[in-house]
Amino acid sequence: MNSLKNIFALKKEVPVEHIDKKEEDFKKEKFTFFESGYGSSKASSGNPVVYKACLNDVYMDYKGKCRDNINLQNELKKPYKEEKGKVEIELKKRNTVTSIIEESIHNEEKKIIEYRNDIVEVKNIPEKFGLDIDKKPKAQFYLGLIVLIPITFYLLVFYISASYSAFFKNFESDELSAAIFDGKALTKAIGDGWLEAVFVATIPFAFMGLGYLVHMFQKHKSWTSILKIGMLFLVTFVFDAILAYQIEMKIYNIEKTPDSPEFDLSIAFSSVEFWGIIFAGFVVYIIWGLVFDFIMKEYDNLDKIKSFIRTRKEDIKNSELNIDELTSKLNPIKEEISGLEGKISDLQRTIDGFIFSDKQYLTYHAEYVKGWYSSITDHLPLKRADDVLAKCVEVEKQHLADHSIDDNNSEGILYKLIN
Amino acid sequence: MKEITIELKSHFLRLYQMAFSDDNFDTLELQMLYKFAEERGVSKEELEKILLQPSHNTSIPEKFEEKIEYLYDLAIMIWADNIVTEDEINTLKKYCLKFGFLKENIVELANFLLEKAKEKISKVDLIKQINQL
Repeated sequence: MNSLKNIFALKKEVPVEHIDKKEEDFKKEKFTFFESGYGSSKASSGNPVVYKACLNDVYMDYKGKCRDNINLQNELKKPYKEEKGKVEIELKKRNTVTSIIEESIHNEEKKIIEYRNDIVEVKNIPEKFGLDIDKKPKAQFYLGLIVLIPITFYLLVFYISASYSAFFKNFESDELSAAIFDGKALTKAIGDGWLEAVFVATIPFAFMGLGYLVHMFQKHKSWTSILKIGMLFLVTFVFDAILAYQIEMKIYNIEKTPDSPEFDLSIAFSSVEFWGIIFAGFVVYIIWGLVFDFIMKEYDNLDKIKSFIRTRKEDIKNSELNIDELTSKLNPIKEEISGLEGKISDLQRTIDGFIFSDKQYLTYHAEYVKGWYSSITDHLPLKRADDVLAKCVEVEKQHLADHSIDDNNSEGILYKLIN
Repeated sequence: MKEITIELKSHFLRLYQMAFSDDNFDTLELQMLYKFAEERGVSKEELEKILLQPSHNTSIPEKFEEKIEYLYDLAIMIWADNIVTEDEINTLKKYCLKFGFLKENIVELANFLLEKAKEKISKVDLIKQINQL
């Protein structure tokens, strides 16, 4: 239990040691500068030329000390180091976004390659893409069409002729040899009147319509569809039988003798012509229906591949749009990254270089100047002292201006590392 | 899959934001965290917003209970898809370390939190259990 409790132990905060420069040391240093100024001034009788050289000497000496003082440099560089840390986090974040976006772009590119391969492959291996179709739908479709067109013409001709024979033909005046097939059926029907012509010309389409319905019902594999298809075949057969029966009856009536019995179904069923008409019509009609159904299926297959390719092309387009969008997002981020990298290297150069603390220098400078001026007033006659002091003040002003430390708002001068 | 509540989502976003506030996470780990969040229903837009906006000073919870709550939320998040990956465990460990727990206890602490999250113990009960230890 105790060991489990231990896992929740928190780190103890280590108190940050704050190294404060002792006030005493600071005072001592200030006094040394005062003394140094006083002594040099006394030795040179406050000579402004010597004063100028001395100020430069103090400045250079302090600058060297400032550079070598690691604690002071660390303190002065602290804000720059903190700033660098912040910029680095921002850089890291942008690098993360960049790598995420680049990965997304890579994924989209991979997708495009896959889609392109799919477009090529779907024609050869359609089942790989869940398309349950023949491999050569195009060839089969055209072969089926080549067979279907002549059968369609045959059905047109046959039913025009058969329906004309059954409904309008006068067998007494016409030749019996043309009873079943009459090559001039349409011309004769036109001759009989336009209604007859329209009737015989459109009746084949009723059969083709029935064939089309069979195809449509076959699409839905259910009991009701099978029943409907059965009914359609039955209706077509009965219609064909009626046509055959009528034609057969007309022929029979012409040829019959007074002893012949009345024409009925049993006579029709035993007649070769009756079955001839049914087979020439109904069986061919079934063949037409099957071929039609077959080519429609192949057309669907063709359509499935086409629509698959169409979808893949759209997918490619979408992926390309996504890539464009991602790339447009990426560019400003990359610009930001190069800006941040520049900022980091600039801050690093500051950190690698050194910072001259002009505020601290001015404190010591003031002490040195105080010592120099005190010596002048202590050791020179009043009039001469005033004259020298005036010149020295000018020298001091020039010194501060020369080193750009006459601006009170300055926080420090940066000496960056030059690569 | 367990549904991620808005509260849990916002907790996660805070954790996510925290990951950017120090040097502990490198770019690849951040990317992993991004995917980890995205897979659990934290939107891409929300995450990208955090990535592209300037960092705020995200503070680590100070109270012990709060630390446990945050970490436990992450453990719940990890269990959201019923699969715990090595990357997810490492992330949890990082947060444990970041929240000031001792390095030598991190593995055990992470395992403890994941175990409790798997048992679906409520946050209140968990804190109670820990306090009773």
